[in-house]
Amino acid sequence: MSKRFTLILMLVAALTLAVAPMTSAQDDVRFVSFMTTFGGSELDALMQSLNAFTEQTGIQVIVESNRQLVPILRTRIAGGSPPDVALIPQPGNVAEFARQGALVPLVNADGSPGLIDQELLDANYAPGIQSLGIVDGAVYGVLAKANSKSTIWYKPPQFEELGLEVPTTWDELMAVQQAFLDAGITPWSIGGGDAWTLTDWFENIYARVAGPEMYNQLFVTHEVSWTDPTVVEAMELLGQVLHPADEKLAGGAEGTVATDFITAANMVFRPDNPEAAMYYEGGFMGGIIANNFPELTPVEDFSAFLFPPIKEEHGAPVVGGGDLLVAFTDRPEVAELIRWMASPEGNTLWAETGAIVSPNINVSLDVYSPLGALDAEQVAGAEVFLFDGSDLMPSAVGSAMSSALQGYVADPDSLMEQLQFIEDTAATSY
Amino acid sequence: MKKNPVLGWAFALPAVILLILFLIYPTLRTIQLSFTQGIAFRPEPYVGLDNYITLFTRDPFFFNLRNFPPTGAFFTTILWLILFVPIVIGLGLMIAVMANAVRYEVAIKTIVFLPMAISFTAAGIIWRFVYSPDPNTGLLNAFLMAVIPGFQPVPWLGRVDLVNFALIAAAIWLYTGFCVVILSAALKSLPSEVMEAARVDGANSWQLFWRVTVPMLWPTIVVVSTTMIINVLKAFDLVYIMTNGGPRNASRIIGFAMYHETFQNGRPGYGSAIAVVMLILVLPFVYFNIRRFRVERQ
Repeated sequence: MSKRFTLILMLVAALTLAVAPMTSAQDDVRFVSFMTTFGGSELDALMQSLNAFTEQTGIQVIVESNRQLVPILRTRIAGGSPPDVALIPQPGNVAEFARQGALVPLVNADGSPGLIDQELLDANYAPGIQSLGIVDGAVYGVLAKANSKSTIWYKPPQFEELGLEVPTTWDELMAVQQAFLDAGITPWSIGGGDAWTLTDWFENIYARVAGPEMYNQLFVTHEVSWTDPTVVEAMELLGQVLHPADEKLAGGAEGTVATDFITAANMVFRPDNPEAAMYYEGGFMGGIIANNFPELTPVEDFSAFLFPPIKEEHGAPVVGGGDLLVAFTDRPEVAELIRWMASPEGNTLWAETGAIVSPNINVSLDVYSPLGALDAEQVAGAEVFLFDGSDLMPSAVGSAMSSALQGYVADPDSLMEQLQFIEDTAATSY
Repeated sequence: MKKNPVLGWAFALPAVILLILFLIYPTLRTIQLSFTQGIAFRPEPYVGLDNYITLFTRDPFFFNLRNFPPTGAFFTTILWLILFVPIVIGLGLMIAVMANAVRYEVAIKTIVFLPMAISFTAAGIIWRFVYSPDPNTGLLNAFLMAVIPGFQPVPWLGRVDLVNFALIAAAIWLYTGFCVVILSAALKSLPSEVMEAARVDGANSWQLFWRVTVPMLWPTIVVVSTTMIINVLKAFDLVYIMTNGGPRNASRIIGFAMYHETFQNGRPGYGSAIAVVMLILVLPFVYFNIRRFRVERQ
């Protein structure tokens, strides 16, 4: 064998070695990797709690923040390297991951402790909140934060100017809408480019028209069909807000489906040339509006009222969103972090920032800012808390619902066609 | 020199290992997944041709013949091919030839090439601003309102009938520079004798362009065209950033549909089926390009 050939073989071997995975020795540092969609001020708020955890336990929390959480989790799970814990905004995805066997149960189906025990949950969370994290009898997630999505944002000075009062029924809301139309003011701005704003609208109306039970049957189990008369009725009520779009929506139908949710809010609350009077989206909008327009005084210049009841028997259930804390690994550090995040202490530090409302019953309402209190009052005072329906559905049905609602904004006559389309997608997805 | 087969393989080995690892294995795995539901990226349970059948008969966002012209990601990609490729090549050729004739050629080419230096994500965000219906941020609407009295702002990305044209225009802006640089380089390498001979024979500049320049540039034009066609077939980023497939899924293209079904909707089997369709569409152009290289080498 020639010398040259040996040399080449050595080179090849060296290359192969270089490609081999490198291993790092970090065993002596105790840490938990944590994935969330939060960024910016939302993340700073979460860090208040996580930093205190690190101080007390010496366990480092390595936060990875990404808006595209679910796609990334899917690849990380498939690749065998999920984060230790994650905050997932959709219970539907929590159920999906749990059934794939990717999640570690917090409490086992037989009630025995998993990472934590049932007593800790019972001491801190109402049964309705706990049930959001239960999949096939076992607890896989704790609702770490909640936000009301039943808040309609308005400008109190403008209401005063026109002699309007905060509506407490749907009919009163329609009267307010008419008053704005009569005054030559566009009543609504909707960021329909982010289609979830439209699904949120529908969910609030549906919960008030058909009640919590049918709400869950429509979104969670699909026992109620999308062509059901209650769905049609709710859509027609939504139509009273949407149509004719040229008069009622800033930017008309086309502008609405091209506008993101933040721009849509800016169009209402910017001091110069506001284009509309009212904006519906969740309690989290308060922080965003205050941030975008520091010259406005919260509660005085902009405030929110509860999405009014429609049918007396169903009252005003609070539709809300939130993030579930789940675990992908069962190291003791992970259990410690989850115990912290479920404790009143860990929650209070986070809630004090005003970024979130804690569903933990032991967090005092006094910790909130005036804006946070608006939201917290709705969550805490809710007779019924319903999770955002589009987050409970299989993703494909959520996409279909988004598309159908955007279509309905553009063309009121297409309603039945749009509903049939959601139904067709749902029929193959459950 | 005597041929040594072992030595040849030893040289090729690293490349072969990388190809198998990163190209051949993933391709086979994708094909395998496409015949399953692929839950959690595991090739199970087996569903036969179901994914493909759904894709072409029951997915209105992929292949919809009920509308005219047909809609869905498949046909939107074809629209891109029809509009984007000829325009980007035509513009590229025009600018290359015209810049060749003026003194400040470098300045022109630099400006046209500049977009290539921006990442697609950043370009997508820039164009989202340009197209915004709010004239305070939307450059295009602000410009049209200033020029045309009484012009109402148009939500370019919010209208089903406009969104694809708006996206294609942004893509043209991004890729023209690339075409200009390649075509311009080819233009410079053309033998000047042929041009001179044509001029001496009395050809005017129009004839010179169509009868001499274009035929001599033809091999380069073909290569640039196939590259652009492949770029369209695999396109994803602009749509993802600018519209996320909306409004009402009207701007979905094949690459975006693959991503959305696989990672957002959690249906890797279905997404893989889309990937296989994409592969089948790309293959002829790849084959064509490789064959051209071989012919040129001989």
